[in-house]
Amino acid sequence: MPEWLERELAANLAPVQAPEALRDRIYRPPQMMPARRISAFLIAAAMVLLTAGTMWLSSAQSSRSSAPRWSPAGRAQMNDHTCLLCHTT
Amino acid sequence: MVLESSERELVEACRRGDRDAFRTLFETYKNKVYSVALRFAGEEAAAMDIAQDTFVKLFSSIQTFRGDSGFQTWVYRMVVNSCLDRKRRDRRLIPIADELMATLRASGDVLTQMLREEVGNRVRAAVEKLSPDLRIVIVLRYTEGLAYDQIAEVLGCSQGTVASRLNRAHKALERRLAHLAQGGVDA
Repeated sequence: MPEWLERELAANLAPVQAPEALRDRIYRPPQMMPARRISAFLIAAAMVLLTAGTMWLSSAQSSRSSAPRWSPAGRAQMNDHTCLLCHTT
Repeated sequence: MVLESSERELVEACRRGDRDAFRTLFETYKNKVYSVALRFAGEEAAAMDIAQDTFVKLFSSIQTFRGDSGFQTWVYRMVVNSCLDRKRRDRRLIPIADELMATLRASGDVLTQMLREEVGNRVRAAVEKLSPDLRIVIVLRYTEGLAYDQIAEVLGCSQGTVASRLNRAHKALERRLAHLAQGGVDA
């Protein structure tokens, strides 16, 4: 390798001092950006809505399932007033 | 390789989670890590990212350091891996017209200084154009002054491979920078 190239590489690729900002980046916890804060709030709000919706749905289903359900035969009996228990003479 | 006793103590302290030991480690290696990152990446922002990535990995994986190799070699491996992991960025464009106008306006020592800076920019740009494998060998050799066997240990390859890569890199750089030799670079 020519001497001039060796000299130029040594001169122009010499080591440098690390900037002070590197220390800050390593040791300071990253500041939460406003955009991130907003998205975190949106995610939390969505979670609350989702939870509330799930709870409302499950309570609605449970109340529906606790209501009396008549079988077709039972409903026919009710309509025809032929319930033997209630309409026996 | 046997670790120096002070180095071993430092590593042990870091393993115990001693914050002062981490600080000492950072202060000891920050210039080496940043220099390799800057000379490899060619720009400060990318070098900062690489250096930060290296120290985060270093602090989080110091538990896995077994002492088979020197600690400095291990640190160099970390920064080399961070450099090679990073995607290559587009080469920075130098505003040639502005520099030319400034050169024409300047004179004497200022002109000499500007010419030196221009030569430096061209040398670094030529290094940036090398493939990552060749570039990292050049950086470890000329920025950190590592010997062939040390480079081989950092890269996990043979000394023959290091010599071959250096030879190819030198040839490529000589070809790209030939105009500097013809024009004279002793200014």
